[in-house]
Amino acid sequence: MTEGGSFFRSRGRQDADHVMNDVRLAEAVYHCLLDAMIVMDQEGFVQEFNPRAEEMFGYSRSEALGQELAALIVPEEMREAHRQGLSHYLKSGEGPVLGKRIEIEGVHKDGNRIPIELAISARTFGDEHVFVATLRDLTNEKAKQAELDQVRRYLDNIMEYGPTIFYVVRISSSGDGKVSWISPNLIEILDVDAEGLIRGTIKWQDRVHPADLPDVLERWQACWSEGFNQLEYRIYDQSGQLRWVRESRRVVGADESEIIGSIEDITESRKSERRERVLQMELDHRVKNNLQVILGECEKVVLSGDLDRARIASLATRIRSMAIVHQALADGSWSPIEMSELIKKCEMALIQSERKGTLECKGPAVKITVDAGMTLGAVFNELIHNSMINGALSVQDGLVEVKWWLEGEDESTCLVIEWMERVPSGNICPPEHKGFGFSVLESMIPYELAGEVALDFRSEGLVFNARIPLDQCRRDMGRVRGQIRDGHGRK
Amino acid sequence: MTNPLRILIVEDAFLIGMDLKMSLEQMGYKVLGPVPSPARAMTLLKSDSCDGAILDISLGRETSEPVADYLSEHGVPFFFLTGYGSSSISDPNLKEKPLYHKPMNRESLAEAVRLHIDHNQAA
Repeated sequence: MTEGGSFFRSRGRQDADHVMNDVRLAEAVYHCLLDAMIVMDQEGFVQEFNPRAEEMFGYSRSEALGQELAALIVPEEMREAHRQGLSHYLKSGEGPVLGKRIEIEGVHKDGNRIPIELAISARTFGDEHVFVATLRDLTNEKAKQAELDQVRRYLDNIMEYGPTIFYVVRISSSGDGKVSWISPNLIEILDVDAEGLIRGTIKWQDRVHPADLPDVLERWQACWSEGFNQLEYRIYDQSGQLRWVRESRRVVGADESEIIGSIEDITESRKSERRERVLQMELDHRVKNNLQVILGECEKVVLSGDLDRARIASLATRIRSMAIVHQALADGSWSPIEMSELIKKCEMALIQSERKGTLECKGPAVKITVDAGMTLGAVFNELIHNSMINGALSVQDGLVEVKWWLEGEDESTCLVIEWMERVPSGNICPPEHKGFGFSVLESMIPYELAGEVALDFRSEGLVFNARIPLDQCRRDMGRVRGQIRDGHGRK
Repeated sequence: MTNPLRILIVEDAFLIGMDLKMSLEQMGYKVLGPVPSPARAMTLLKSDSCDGAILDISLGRETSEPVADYLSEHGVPFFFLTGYGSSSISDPNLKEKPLYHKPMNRESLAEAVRLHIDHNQAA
């Protein structure tokens, strides 16, 4: 017989068999209980301590029995309250914690605190009061709860501040989909009020670009049968700005009456995709234009029947010149190039070891966009090439001064370029016939950049002047062409 | 050819424009232009008679679409010669017009002119 039998004896059953039955029953209960069970007498001492209690608190039953419960497992700051509660109950019969489940902390033998769910009931046998406590270790539950709370906080942050909008659409009695929930970050990302959308005062489809709406409505409807789909379209935000969004939808739920979806603002990536597309088309265009020029030159040589070295060398020079300008602009990823940089690159590519005279550049910082850069690059190449054959760069003490500056104001501002060759010996003759190079110098700037040029062949060297509307040097055709296409740039 | 056909060239790249001009002249045609902008093309069209045209589509900030519309209205045959794809034409009526891609050699140029502009030669 165990010591635990002591209080069952007090239940008034006199016959020995009944007593034995009670004892067995009690043993079964206290061994098999999945919860810890502690019995305390009215003095506050431990009368019973089952195996689960041993596991929970680290004391063996024999260590626990006869100890004051308060000192054994009640946290220090709670002990006084515990003792007062007990004495108050004994005096008045009032026990506010009795018969309820409460959450408290207990102290393990090793000093660690354990979150516990505690239920105490009291029983009175004559003058004797007995308290039975069942205790459940909440450590795992607390950890799970803490994990859930953490996930919840993450989710709240994602819904509030994340880059993707989430929503739930439920099918209504009329068969239409209705937004039943949407994450509050909607207002941050697309400047649309989530509350208004759920209440129905704002309709998502009213925000969709009219050109995209028929397709959007069709895809929304199709999702119910497809189960999943994704679409990209334009919407107007509350400030009237047009934005690109990507919406992904999936049907969920056993009765397939709900769609969960996400919406991302893809305006920026759309823009950069478009920039890339435009850049690619521009490059394609330039390459084809260059090929057209080269093809034309080759055919000219072939048709003339004049296949001598000089003719072919001049063709090679043309092609090289195109490659130099291409390289100079490609170095800057096809963004605008500084005037000085453009001249320097042409000079470095062409002059190299055959350098005789000197080329000096002077002018303010002026950025030239790609198309104007192609034209100016071709002209500089022609000037340098010409000067190396028959000008200041063909003699040791020759000097070329290139100066540029801006003239005029606002829209009438012009870029003025002056190319002045100085050959000290002064025996430069104007070219006898106006060849291909001459027509480049004379006509390319007026034709392609609406500028004016003047050529003056002096005996001390060539003076070339150009006057180009600055506007022409700054126009970015690629961007303009991109905009032309944006109207039907949809997927 | 006693009365050579007069062909307008609209092309914003000077070197290509000049090369086309030289090629067409060697084939015996009279060339109007080349001109780099629709405005200058319209000026030429209003002062000179024109039997056909070769149009680059993209002209810097502009396109040759207004010139193409004018030519269509006046029954003047033309074809596009472009470095871009046909997607650079926004007017659906013009998408049906003949379009050639750069680079184009002389033989193809002569063929295109015979096919679309110089019908006497084709016949």
